Amino acid sequence: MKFALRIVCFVAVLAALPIGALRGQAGDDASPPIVADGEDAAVGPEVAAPQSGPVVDDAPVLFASPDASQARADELFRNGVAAWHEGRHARAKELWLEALDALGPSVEPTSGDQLVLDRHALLHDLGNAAFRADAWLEAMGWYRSALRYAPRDAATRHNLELARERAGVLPDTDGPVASAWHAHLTGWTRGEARWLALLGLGPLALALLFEAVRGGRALAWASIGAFLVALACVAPLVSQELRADELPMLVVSSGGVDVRSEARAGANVVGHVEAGDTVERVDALPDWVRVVGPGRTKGWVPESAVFDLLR
Amino acid sequence: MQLGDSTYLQIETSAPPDDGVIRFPEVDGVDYGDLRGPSVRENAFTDKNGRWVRERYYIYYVDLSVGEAGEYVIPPITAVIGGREVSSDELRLRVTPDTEGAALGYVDVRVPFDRVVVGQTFPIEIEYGCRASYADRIGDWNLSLPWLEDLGRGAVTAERPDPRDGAPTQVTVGRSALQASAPKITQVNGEAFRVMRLRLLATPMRSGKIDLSGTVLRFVEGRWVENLILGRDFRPTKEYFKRLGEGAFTISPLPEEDRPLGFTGAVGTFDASASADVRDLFAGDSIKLTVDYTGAGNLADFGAPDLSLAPEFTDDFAIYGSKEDRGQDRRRIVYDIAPLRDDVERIPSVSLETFDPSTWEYRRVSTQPIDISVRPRGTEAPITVGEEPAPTKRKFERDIEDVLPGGLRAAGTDGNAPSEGTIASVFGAVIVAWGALRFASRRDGGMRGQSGERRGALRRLERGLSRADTPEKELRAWTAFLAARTGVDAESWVGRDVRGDSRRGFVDLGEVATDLVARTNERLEAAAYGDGERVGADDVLRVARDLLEEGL
Repeated sequence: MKFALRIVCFVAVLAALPIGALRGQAGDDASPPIVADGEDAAVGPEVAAPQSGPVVDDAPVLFASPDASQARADELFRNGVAAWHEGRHARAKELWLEALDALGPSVEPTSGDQLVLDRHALLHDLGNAAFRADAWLEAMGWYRSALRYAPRDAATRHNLELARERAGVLPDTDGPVASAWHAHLTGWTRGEARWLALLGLGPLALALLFEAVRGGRALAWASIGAFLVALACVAPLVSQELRADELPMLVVSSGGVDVRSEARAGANVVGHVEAGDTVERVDALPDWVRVVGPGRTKGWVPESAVFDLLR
Repeated sequence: MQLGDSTYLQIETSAPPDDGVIRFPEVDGVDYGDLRGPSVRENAFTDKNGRWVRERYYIYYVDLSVGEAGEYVIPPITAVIGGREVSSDELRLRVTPDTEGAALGYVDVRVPFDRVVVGQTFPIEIEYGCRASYADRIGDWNLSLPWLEDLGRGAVTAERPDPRDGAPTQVTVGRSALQASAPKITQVNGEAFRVMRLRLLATPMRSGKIDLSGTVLRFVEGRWVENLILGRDFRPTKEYFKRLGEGAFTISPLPEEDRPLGFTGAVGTFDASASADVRDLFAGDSIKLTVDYTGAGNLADFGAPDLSLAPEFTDDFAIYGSKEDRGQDRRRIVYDIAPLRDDVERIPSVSLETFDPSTWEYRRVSTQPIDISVRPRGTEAPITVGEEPAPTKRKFERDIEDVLPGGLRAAGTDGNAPSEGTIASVFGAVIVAWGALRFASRRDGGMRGQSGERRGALRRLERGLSRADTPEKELRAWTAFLAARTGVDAESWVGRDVRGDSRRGFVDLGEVATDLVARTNERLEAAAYGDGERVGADDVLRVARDLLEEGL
């Protein structure tokens, strides 16, 4: 009886604490209201149908209506896809870039029902446009940007590898363990990383429950194991948090780019970064970007030589 | 015995012959087979004087057959044993013709040539059977073909009958069971006979006249009985013998006249063809020259042409060797050769000297020459491998995956994901709940007391053991420790069946702790009250710590 009571208490404490946190989160979110299905269901704002291409589905939308920027971006995106299928690749790229501008910077969705444009698809398609224009390094940049939103997407990964091959950029040569760990850290979207972290706490809670009630060496070891599992599950989220302020850029100038001490063409060259290297932006001036390179090389490079991976 | 039947002589001697020879007298019409034995037989008995006597006999056997009916007298058989010639009694053998078997049976041997030559492969067809009205009563067929030995050992093989002609039958030749054709009804002298055919392929090794008259068909009449265990069982009732009668053919030696120098024993009518695996190659590259011989003859037996003895090859090619595939229908020889120079334009024909029995003359069988293109070393000309160009494998381009349709979609898991605050709260809640529960559990004491009590009990045990100068005092310190940790009186732990109490539910220490307590109790009690070794304080303390780790 006593034992059961203790477990009930444990579960109650577990449940009570996060509920407060969830309430606080809900209050801050101010999510848009969900529109029910039926006559009042909102249909997305009317957009001009492309002259050719996929038929716009005018079925009732089961989710919240997209905001104006998302709807505009969606229209542009679809027109771009239609142009692509007509073989007008340059026009498609223009439309997709416009769609990207219309979307603005990436903002985390505030609810699961919120309608958002598939930014991964948009960036993937921009990568294809660059690829077809033989801009392999730029295509790499688009694909890498796309993978931030769908890290495990096989098509984008395939295209990235192909672009890397065409650009002559060697793939990373980490060992198998380091590669696997890196893949684990970067293989989740932000939302997935959060869910993973939460799930990782489940085995830990269970192991600690039994350790507290039953005690013993085996359960102590089980708790340690569950703790390590929880750490592994939390690691992607922690990694993303640590890199949240980074502004990665890809060197897309063929042959690499010289790093200069000042933001002018004749300034001293203090280093060199190779094409396909990732640098971090730390400052910017018109037409110039200050970056930190792989070997902690810090300096200025022309803005045209680098590609912003945060799209 | 009946004509066609066979018997054997059994010769017993008291010791093996000095020279190992038993001499059989020659008798017209009597054939002796190979001598077999000896087998040894021992007799042991007590003679009239009470002595233990052991006799040993050596027994030899020899098969005996006769060609004609009649009375045969076999004079004494002699051997030299112990320096003395010993002999057997005279033997008499009466052979009567089996007139009934001769009327009922049928046997015929057919050779399609009047004369054949040594090395020639030719078929021998033996037809045998019995009157159709008797056929259902015959259950065992046996052919005696003594002339097979005259063809040469291993010179004859049996051909399997074509199963399309019906289910094969079985016939015994010597000690081999061979397959013969399905029975067919044949009219012989106005009588219907059910006849089977056994087809042999012979390649005689030696010349001479082959007398077929010793051919005897033995067939057994009986009845078929249904047996619960063995199924259908044949019970023989009577044997019949049918002799072939007169018949012979001649095996001629190969004619010496016009025999070519390079003749390697190929006898028959052959065709030859050749092919090369490479026709466009660099000088010095290997060519696999395949030569196939087909036709009727001793394909498996003749010696392959030796290219290293042919000047047309040795002048232009390096000969590395050959591999052979011998079959009844085809002989394949694969030569490994390599052109020595780039001006070699063809592979010469390969010639085989043969003897053709159909024309009774020697004949040369040659392959067609093969044109080749040999390039000097160092040129980068393409090389064509094989006689026919290899099928080109289509190459496909690697390309990117096409654009994604994308579009608006629900945020899904990304939108519903818990915030970092929620995750931190859950983590904190887990830790807080664990701490609280642990505190509550430990505070209750009893079987699982607080850690302070544990440490106290351990300290008291340490002190007790350090002061103990006898095993009894060590046992007392140990039981005091158990009493402190379990709340059960110390005295009750002495002599207690801990495992039994655990099984019965009187003690709840867990499996590991129960075992530790029981074993330590036994050791300490054996030291205190028996002649067991004294348990060291360190051992006891280690067990006590383990028990505390286990939650005691």
